[in-house]
Amino acid sequence: MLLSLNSFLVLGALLFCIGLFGALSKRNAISVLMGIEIMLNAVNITLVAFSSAFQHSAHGARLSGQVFAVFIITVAAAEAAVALATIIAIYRRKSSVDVTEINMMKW
Amino acid sequence: MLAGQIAFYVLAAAAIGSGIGVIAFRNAVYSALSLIVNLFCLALFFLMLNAIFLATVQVLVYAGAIMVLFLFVVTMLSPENDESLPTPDRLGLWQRGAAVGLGIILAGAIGYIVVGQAALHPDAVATGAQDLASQISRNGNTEAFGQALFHGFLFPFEVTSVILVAAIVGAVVLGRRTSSREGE
Amino acid sequence: MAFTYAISGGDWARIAPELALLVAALLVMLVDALIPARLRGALVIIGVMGVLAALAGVIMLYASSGSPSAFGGMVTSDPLALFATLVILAATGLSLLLSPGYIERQGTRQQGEFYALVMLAATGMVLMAASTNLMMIFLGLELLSLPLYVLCAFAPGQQRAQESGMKYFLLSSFASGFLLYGMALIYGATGATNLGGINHFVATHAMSATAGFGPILLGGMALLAVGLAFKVSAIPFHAWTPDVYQGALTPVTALMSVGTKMAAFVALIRVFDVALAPVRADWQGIMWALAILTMVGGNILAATQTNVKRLLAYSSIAHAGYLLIGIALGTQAGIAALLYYMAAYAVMNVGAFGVVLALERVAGLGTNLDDYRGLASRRPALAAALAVFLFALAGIPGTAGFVAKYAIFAAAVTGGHAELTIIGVVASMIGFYYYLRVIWAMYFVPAPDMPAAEAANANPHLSLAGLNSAVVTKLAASGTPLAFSAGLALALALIGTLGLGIFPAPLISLARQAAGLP
Repeated sequence: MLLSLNSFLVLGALLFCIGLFGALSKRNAISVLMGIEIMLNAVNITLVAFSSAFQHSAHGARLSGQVFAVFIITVAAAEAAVALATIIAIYRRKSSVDVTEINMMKW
Repeated sequence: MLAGQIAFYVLAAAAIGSGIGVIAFRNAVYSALSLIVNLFCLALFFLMLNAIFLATVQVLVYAGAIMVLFLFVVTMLSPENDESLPTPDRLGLWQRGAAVGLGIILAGAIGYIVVGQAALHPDAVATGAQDLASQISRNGNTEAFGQALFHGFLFPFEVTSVILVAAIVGAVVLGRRTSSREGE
Repeated sequence: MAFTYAISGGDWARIAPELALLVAALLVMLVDALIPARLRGALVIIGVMGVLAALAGVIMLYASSGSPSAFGGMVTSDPLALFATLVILAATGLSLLLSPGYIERQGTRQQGEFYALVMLAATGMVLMAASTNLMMIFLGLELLSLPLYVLCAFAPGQQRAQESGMKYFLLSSFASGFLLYGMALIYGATGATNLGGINHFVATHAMSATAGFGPILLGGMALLAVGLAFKVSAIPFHAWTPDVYQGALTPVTALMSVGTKMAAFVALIRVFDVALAPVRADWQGIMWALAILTMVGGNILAATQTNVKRLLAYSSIAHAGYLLIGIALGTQAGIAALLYYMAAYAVMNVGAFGVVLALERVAGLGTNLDDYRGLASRRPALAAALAVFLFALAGIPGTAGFVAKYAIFAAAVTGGHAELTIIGVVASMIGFYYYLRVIWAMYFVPAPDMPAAEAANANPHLSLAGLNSAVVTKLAASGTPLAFSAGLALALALIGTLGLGIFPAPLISLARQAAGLP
């Protein structure tokens, strides 16, 4: 494969930064969550790119990146379920999911 | 080889564009749809990197299940967004025309493939199948992945099941409490 | 295939404490479905029995011989993991004992789920402390975090609790993103996710400039450090701590402040002080700066607080700073001191939160410093207990806190970082101020008028019926009576705080063993 490891790593880094910016700049809790999902996906692409770069090494090193990515997807699903349940619980009470309105407590 | 590179750059542009779309759209529904496009692009990257099983999981679980949950919550929590989404009534005539035209082209193409499938050369079919088999045996994908997951990584795999139990209990707790309070 | 690998019974025996806690969590849920609602308070007994069973498992593993590693190097039951498990079990057991009465008073209906989630979180903490693979560290971390998100949002009808749960979730999964990216880069740089493999690679390649993967490893270490620093609430990654600690139910806060810290510090020890020890020069500066920032910043911020729960939250940040000294030193003596400090911190901090809990009324009322005025005359036993815990947190001789601080500062001096000791001692002086402020309010400031206490007396769901004893009647001179189990927890924490201060030797030798010292 001519595609170099670096191009995938750069792509992963770019996506991570996009997700990071989204998670920091958005006010809506669901949008923050979507930014975090992009960050997790950037991690996945990085892991899989590394794992394919280790193609000629031992099986363990090569596949642990892919296995790690599957675990990240599973955990992301679990997290999304809990987060969305919390968001709904808050919304029913306040009719708003704006994180800047979560202001009952001072810093 | 060149085709692979072109595909990479086109997909990378799509992935980054849709990623920016997720954070640029003010409407959360559009953000969620952009995220789905983004996740699909990543699934295609996984295919390019020979992670076939992961690509499947990405489409089925991430772009499918998780994002449906997101869209469900987004649309449930912000009913006012319905008005900003174009509804069928407000679609222009040209859009309907384009939709019908594209639909006819798609139907024709599928029909052509289905009807013309018998015309595939048997040698080509055999070569294709062999190529796929040799690829899989060379790159050892889903099978090797399964071996890895259920041997060396069996323990973390078991732990994820406990994490899912915790998530289920948590989601039930959070969901049920509000309903019991409403019942008061 | 290359992966033929069979799991034996011995592997499962190596994770006996985790299994005991997990089985207890499942049993709680099962029994919860079968018994009538009025008996649900008794579910805590199953939780406590789970903790005791896990304790038996730890003792069994201490006595056992053979290789501690299990499941192909995923987890281990080495002395470090066992010591951390002991601390986590102590925190879990005390938090469970503090819960009955309190969570009913707060109006919680779903007691079964509450105890089940506490046990699941404890399972995750123990698992994370036992992990010897980056993947397992991540999964353990998520297993402890997910139940805690829910537990933070648990207090019914309390907006603050739900908001603190949401805030914790967003910031925590944000930090998980950094942690994972760091892990991915470390995997890329070294080709391994198991810590032994990482250590082997780093040791053999010595990270010369020609190694090629040098910058990737550096970036990975930095991101991993950020992710874990968030979990131990080191400054500047501490912003979530006060809000979450204040908003959550107090037993949850007590568990979180000790258990999460212990698990995350073991991960820091395993990753940085052990696996990445050959490149210590690259990460020591980060930890050094984090330790100083956290010690000084935590103490200064704590001094400005007027709410006791928030004050304890900032004080827990400050203690994370002292603990980070142990990481920054990178010596075995530093690790041993850190572990002893963590054990001492577990009893004194859970004890302090226990007294706060006993005085807290519905929805977090009664936790302001003003509410503590004249406490010594209203509830002398509770005031005396809180005074002991706060003296211990401040580091007064004769308490566990003094021995712990002495051990970590001494390790810093012998490790060649006397500047950390000096800054730590100065920061502790600021600490004296705010701990003594609470004690001053309890003993030397007259109580305001009494309507608050009267209101508490009128509270209908007070005692755990039938479990009252002489302890309770003595402690319950006014205000909310203490449930028997909470009294027991406070008594145990008191014994621990004073016992570890007066007879520290056995635990110190255990901590030294865990750190690999003779």
